[in-house]
Amino acid sequence: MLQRELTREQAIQVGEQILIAVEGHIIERGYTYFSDGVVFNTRVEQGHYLTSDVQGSEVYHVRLDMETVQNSTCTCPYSRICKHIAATFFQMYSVFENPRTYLTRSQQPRRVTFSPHMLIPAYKYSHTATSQSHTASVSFSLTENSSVKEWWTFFESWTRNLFAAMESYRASSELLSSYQNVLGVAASWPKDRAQLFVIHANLFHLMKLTQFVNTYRQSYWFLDLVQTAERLLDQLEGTLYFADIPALLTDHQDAIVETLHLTKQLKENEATSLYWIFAYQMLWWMLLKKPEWIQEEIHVLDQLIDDENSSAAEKEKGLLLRAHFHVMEKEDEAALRIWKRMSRLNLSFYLSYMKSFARNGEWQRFLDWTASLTTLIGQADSQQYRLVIAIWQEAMEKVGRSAECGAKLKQFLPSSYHEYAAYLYEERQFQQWIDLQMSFQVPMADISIMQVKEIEEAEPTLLFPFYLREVNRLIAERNRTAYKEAIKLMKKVRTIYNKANQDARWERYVDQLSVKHNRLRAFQEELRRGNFNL
Amino acid sequence: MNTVTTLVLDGELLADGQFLITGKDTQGAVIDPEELAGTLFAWDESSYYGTFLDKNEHGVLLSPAKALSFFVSPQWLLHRTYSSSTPFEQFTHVAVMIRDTLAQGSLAPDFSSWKKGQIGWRALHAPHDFPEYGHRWLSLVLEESLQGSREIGRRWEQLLTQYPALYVMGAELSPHLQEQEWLQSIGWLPDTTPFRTCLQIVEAEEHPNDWQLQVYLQNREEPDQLFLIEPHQLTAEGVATARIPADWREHWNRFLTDLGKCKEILPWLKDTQDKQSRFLTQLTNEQAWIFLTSSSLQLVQAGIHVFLPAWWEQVRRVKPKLKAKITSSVGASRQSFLGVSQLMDFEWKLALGPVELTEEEFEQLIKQKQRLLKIRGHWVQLTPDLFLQLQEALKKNQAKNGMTLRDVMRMHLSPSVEAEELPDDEFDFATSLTVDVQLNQHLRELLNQLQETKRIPIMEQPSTFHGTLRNYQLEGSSWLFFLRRFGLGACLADDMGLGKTVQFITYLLHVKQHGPASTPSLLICPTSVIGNWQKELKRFAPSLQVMIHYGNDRQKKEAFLPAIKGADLVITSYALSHLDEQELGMVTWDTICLDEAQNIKNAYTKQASAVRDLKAWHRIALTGTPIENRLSELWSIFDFLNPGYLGSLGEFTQRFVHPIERDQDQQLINQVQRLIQPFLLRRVKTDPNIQLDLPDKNESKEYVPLTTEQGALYETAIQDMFDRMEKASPMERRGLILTTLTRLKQLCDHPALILNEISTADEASRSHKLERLLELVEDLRQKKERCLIFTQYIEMGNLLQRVLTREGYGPVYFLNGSTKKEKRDEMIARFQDATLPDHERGAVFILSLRAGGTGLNLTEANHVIHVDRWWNPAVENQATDRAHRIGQQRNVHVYKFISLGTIEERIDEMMERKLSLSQQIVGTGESWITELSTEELRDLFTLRHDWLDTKG
Repeated sequence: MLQRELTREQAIQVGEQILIAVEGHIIERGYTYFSDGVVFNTRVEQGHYLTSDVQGSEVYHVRLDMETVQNSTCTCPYSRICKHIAATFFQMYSVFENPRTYLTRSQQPRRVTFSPHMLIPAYKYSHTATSQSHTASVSFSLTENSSVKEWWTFFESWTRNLFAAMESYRASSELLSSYQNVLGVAASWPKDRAQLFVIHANLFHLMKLTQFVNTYRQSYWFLDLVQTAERLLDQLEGTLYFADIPALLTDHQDAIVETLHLTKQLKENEATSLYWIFAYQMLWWMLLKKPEWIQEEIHVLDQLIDDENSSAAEKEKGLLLRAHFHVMEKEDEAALRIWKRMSRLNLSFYLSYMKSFARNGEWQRFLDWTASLTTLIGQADSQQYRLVIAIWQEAMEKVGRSAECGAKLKQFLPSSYHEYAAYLYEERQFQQWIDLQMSFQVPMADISIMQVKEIEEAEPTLLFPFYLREVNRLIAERNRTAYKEAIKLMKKVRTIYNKANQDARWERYVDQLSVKHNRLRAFQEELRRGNFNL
Repeated sequence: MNTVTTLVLDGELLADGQFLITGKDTQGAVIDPEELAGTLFAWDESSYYGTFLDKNEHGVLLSPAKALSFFVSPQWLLHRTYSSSTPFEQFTHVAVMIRDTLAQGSLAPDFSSWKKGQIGWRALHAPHDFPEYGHRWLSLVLEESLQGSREIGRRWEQLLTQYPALYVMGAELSPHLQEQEWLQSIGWLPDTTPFRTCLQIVEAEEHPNDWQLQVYLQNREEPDQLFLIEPHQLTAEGVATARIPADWREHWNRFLTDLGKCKEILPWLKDTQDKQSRFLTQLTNEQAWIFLTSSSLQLVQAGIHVFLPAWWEQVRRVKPKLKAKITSSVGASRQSFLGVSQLMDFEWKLALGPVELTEEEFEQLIKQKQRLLKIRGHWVQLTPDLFLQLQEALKKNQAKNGMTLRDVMRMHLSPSVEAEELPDDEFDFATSLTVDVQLNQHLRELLNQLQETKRIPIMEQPSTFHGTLRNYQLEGSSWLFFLRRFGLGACLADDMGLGKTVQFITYLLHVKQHGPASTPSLLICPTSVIGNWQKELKRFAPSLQVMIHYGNDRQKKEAFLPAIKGADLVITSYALSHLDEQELGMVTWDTICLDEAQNIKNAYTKQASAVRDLKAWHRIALTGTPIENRLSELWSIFDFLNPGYLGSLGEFTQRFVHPIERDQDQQLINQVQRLIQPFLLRRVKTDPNIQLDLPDKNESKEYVPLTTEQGALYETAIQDMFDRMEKASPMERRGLILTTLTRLKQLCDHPALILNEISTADEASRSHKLERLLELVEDLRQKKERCLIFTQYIEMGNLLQRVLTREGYGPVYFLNGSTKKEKRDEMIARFQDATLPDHERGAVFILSLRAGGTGLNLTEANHVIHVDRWWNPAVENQATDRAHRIGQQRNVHVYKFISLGTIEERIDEMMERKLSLSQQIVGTGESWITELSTEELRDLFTLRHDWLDTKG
């Protein structure tokens, strides 16, 4: 009985930790698992662990650390706090409090606090996961000594029927299960070799996907496939991140060289799709780090760019890729100059670099990039925005500039609206605050009465534009209820003018307003009823 | 949160110099101009944050100056992003250049603009990319600030006086003028010539046609140094003999150019073809007059200095007036009746400053073609126009066989007297002459007294009057009697209840006391009040002989005169005044008095014209309605009182009624009031001089609709009652009706009362009554006033107390049946204690009608709100009297809340109709309702849908 073994305080405290560390969509998925009733065998262990089994695509074992939630574990491939951990949390929270209220709270915009975990790729390579695959029954021609070329030949034969299946069934699921199943081939291989195999399987499927999308551009599943591609890339990043790169470079040289050639061949793809570019950059960034390789690739790219025979699209692609090597050589300005011209590059494109800077403690570099990308950050979706801001605040603190954070939030509008408004208000920069509300056309009803009251006491005249605009808006509604509201508001305005010893300005206002709307009979009636001594 | 998109701005310079600013979102959708103004001028105080900028359907319209400040430093929202079109950016660029130009003052008058007939400026040292429209923009900005800013406007005026050449533009500019020269003439560029050319006109000493025009050169540095140029030296060769400083001679050509200009301007030289012809220096009287009146100005504008005689300015400013001097004998005999039609003797004179001329003298001089004339040491100018005007004016004023008192008063009180006081530099000869009436001693005094009632001698209360008159009543009767002495009709328009009747009765007694009249007076009043008059006369003045001319047995024809013989007052009705016109017309009455004179408001009725045709020495109108604002009614009454005083109805309508009704022209309204004021006496109850015991009580009904929620509950309650009534016994039926009645009335107050909700957050939005009440309380608290709120329901009282406390009007008292006596006394003591601060004293006092309706004294409140209605007005009035009683210093406002379409409105209608039935039964409470038939109940209870709030 959880009720006896745990306390309400504990539940609430864990909830607060999760709110700080976990993104809203993960919490929401956790709630769905919890309410679907797929959390079993929840038990308290060693006083501060809560273990449970969660039925996802398979059964995962969760260990929720109630003292330090960040240290919780789950057997699923996700590297951070996952939906299964969240579901386990709901299992305990619901004993004491209403989980729906919590869910609502978690879905509201809130600050995400920096934690090093958020810099780590979400998917970890799990050797055990591959070993459990269902491919064991199939007999393969591949062994751990097969070359990369042989792997790719195998992939081709393995996926002979994949497009047909993707066309007939749900394309994203077909592709993913093809990918996951093929991993089983390497299940019994040594870990390093197996990781390399995963990378290639991933790359292969990513290319397949691109091919599929190019062939069936009108496919019904297109949006779905975008998510699949992102998922593959996430996993690629995770695999690369968690791999023992030095060991690979020394122990599997042949395979790495083959990988290098394959990577270079990626360039032949069209730049209309960014996915292979992500993979290309990731491989160079994390795996193929040998200077002579890099120099050679730079040379090739420069030739492509300078070649008069290259088409404009080719040159553009060359530049896009060349910029990556600018970054690798710490020529960030040059890279950003190229990329920022290309409006299709969204924040996620830059984000993997920026996370990487943060991981390496290159805080100033990270800040330079945010400063250069303010517009993109300001328009990012809230999840990405919050992630960037959390890291950014950490970076500011690391370089000793956290005092400037509040004011700097302005550059990240509109995404930073809530935090920036809160900052302005705390700093009593009321004019800026009002300007912000008006710029964002925040309906008056959405603004806290308390805050307005405070401004009314501190600097009441600042409210004139705010109130007058609302009066105009109400009048424009052209109905009596709105007129009445307008009159009410005008009474407030009168009080403020009166207190500011600007009665004359008030009278001029009412007179002119009456003249301006002299054809709105109902409004005129309300004006008269308002006793404004017209 | 709305996503903030970038605002794409575009600007366009319109043909009239205004700028049109339009905005689109990034998708190209046009932003509503109001919203655009609110964004771009969000912090611009002068336009009330964009509210009062001009807009058309595309965008915001900006005047040149407004546009300048907008482009230079927009007061727009700072948290929006803006992108601008190329023209918009260019405007911004140009605006900055214009701002700098203005700041550095690097601009000059634009000669080409002046030549085109408009003021214009050019930016000097403008950057090469300064566009042509920039100059125009600059000019328009300057023009706007000349008109807009008082300070700059005044400077400009000064400049115009100093450099009159600035006035000259368009075709008036000499085609020979060079830009350089022009800039010198307007004082923009310094003139390097050491002298100025000056002309002086010297007045004729001996012969009227012996005016001299003398030419001087004036030292620019030392204006006192003048060098006379002899007539024979006014040529190119003259340089040799002219006695001027040696170094001036090289500038002689400049002098000759100036002379050339003079020749162009002076009409008697202009016609001579030969440019070399002699410069005429001998002028006739007429030429001198032309020189003074027009040429001199042109010369000055052309840069020639002109010395005029010192007296000229005075002469020019003199405004001719027609003077009507009333001969001294008029009005001297204080006993004689005048009436407004009395003719008066006048002497007519034309006044030109200190000089006065009779018509004949004037005519003589005009015939001699004398324009300028020295009479008795003063110069005057006489023009043929003036003579024509004089004749015109005389004809007009003497056409009606001389002037009457009416005309004199009209002139004396009419507004042209005021217009004359306005500074008027250029006398416009086209306007007609103003007539200045010079009153003699007697008339002056009379008019003063008429204009200020206080100066009328107060007569004592006649001994024959039974009772005591208040001061203002004595004043009123004295005023009537005073006007009588001059035969001037009087309108006594005191508020209802101030005793117009006794004032007229007193007047009658005064009349009788001052010598027996040869004929009786006549009182015409509505039939319904004849009896009342009879009673009042008997009560206050039993000594008066009153004859009622009314009824079938009234004396007609030959019998009429004998019948009224010996009577002091004859009373008849309006109806009979017309029917018995013949009889009533046989007598010239001592006084005719119209009671409720608004009965003749329609001037065209036979009744009204019959009344107007009756003859009398004196006419009086009594009315209780404020007639000043009803113009045609006013005319009708005044035409009875003082026939012809306000002119014919047609004239009056054209001059006053139409314009006032059209424009509410306050000046015209004042004119009418000034005209009627001497004959109108109106006191109101609130007049501090009246000193009634209590301030006024204003009652108003506040009709409020039900909310949809209330409407639905109301219908359910009724339906429920009728359903259950079918099976109910008579006893149960009564109970059912009474409970339903209570439910309905509570429901009208607030739905929460019958839903048994303890507290809800949105109380005000669920009942318009509560909403209205909160508004009222806010209003009156803003004026620092206090209020009492009465309700029949404890629950409502509780709710109100809670809501009002929450809204910050605390402490809020609630007195009801269960309030302990000590608590009661304490609440009242606090509320009444003006020395306590508001937060201890309380400003809102809720009382249950039953517990608080009687016996309390709460005069610190001057607002009384009845949230729900009671059947008996007396109960409500008693409650109201808690505040409206001795000790109350202010007017008391009473608000009665009535829910539209509901039982409450029905209750109100019953109280209003004062049905005898309901009067009898209503007093007993609500039990009578239980005796009504189901059909009657249905009528009483059913909700009238048209009053339901349709918001929901």
